[in-house]
Amino acid sequence: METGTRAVDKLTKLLSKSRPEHCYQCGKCTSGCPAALHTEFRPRDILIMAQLGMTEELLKSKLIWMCITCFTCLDVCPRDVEPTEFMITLRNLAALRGIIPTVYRGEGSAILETGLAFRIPESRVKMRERYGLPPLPRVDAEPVRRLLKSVDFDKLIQRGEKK
Amino acid sequence: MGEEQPAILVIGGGIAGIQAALDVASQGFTVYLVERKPSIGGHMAMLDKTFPTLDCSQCILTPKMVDVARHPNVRLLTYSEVKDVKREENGFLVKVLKKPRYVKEDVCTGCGICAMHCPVEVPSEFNMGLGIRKAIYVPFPQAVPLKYTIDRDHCIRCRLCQNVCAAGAIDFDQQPEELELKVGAIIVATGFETFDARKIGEYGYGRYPNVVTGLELERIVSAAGPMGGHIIRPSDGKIPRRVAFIQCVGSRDKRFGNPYCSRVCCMYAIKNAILLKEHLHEVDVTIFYMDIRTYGKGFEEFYRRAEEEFGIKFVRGRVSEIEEDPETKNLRVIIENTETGEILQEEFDMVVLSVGLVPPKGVKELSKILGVPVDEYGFFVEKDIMTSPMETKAEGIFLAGTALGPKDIPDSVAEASAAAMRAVNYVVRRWKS
Repeated sequence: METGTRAVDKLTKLLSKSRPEHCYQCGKCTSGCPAALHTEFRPRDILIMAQLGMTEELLKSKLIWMCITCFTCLDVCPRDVEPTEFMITLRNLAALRGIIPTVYRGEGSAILETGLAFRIPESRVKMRERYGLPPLPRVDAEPVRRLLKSVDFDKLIQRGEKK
Repeated sequence: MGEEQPAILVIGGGIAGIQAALDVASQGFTVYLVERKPSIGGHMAMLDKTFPTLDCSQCILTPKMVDVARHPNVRLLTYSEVKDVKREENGFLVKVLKKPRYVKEDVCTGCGICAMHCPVEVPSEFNMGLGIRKAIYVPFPQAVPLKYTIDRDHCIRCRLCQNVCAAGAIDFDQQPEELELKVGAIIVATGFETFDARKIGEYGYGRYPNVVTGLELERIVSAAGPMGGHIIRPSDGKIPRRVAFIQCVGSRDKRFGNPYCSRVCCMYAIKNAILLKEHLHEVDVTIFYMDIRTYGKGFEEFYRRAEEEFGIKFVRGRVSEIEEDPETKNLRVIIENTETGEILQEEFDMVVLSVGLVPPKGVKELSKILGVPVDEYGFFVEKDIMTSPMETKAEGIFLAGTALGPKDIPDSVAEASAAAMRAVNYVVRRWKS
């Protein structure tokens, strides 16, 4: 297993400008993290795991998907580590390996089908009618689909899926 | 060099400048000690106690201030600034601007009747704005020289001071005076400023009255301070029962261009925590730290004493945010205890920010005037950190104290003596040849 900064370097140079190797474990990211307040997600733990070369464990972990990308940690980090960016990097790497939580697969296919990340339920449409609100604007999903297919997004979200 | 024995200029009248001036003067050389504030003394005069011995800071400093002022070889130029330095064949020609005090220094007796009658109250810089001074003032009672100064920005020209001054020292027509000094060497001891904690929005300093800085706490604790030594919190004057210290405020933080360690904050926070415990037996004190850096002689023992003897709590982690309860003005500190992984939300009556040390204003201009470079943070650069730490690349110009970078009082004093020796060596060598 590769450890220390070399493993980290390999990881980060791929996709983002985050620098987990700069982290000195002060815990400021974690104490300000709204996700950490309610889950076992600890940005500081993720960063030290990366420094220890525990890349495999991280990519398989549910924890990396718990970040809500609010960027509070990025604002307060005294070492410019940019933890949010790092979480996004890890997710991208995990997705390439086909490790994608079901809920995100659903979201991905929703974008492909409707052009929106959120499928608007029929009940919502009816509710709008009931309150006399104008109908929602129609979304043309075709350009979105074309764009995503050009980068093989449709194949990516099926990767590793258990049939 | 010529017949006349060369003089030496010391810029900055804090503990380093005072020590350097005393050491140069005691070797028989004339010293010009230039200080831009109305009194010498610097930051050390503002401190209540010093670490790790808990000595009274002013009790050590003020005799030195008096010594330097009364030394036959020292010319004290307070309320003055170095405006220009020209290198000459035999040293330097220095232009010093003596700002007008509007009080004749040679006539004022320091009796203080003027200030008693002055109707204008201004936040006192010496007391970090926690107390007041008058528009005609001495920064603190032990000021040297004990000469009053009129702050023309706040003076309303009522001339009451002029009416009551028995010595006739008030002179509203005083003009700035430019002095020319010939010196053989220069010692730069321009000191530091504390980091402006307003820059860290998440700690609410400047918005939350009960978030104070370490230097403000020094004034609160000081028996001669604005609260008369009663430890009370600013919002309502209540005695705090729970106090938190937050370390590394403006130090080891890349966001503000200060990735360096300020070296003194761990020790001054521990010291202030002990002082709080000594003053208020009921108080709970917690220090939130990243690393405790107690590197000096007797420092680690001091840290252990704080924990074991005084029961001060140490929690490892950096505070991400302080929230104020708008009604009670109490403060909620949000922190991860990085030793347990627990996220804590603790309430305190008062929070003290251990602010770091940064270069003082005007340092870039002085760097240009002297031809001595400053580093990326604004601290002066030594010639060689290993072999000639007190010298600069500009021949004949020497450095001492926090002008070089953050450090504590013992180190500043040691450097001042070293710089004095180097400067004297330098002028003697040139003078004899």
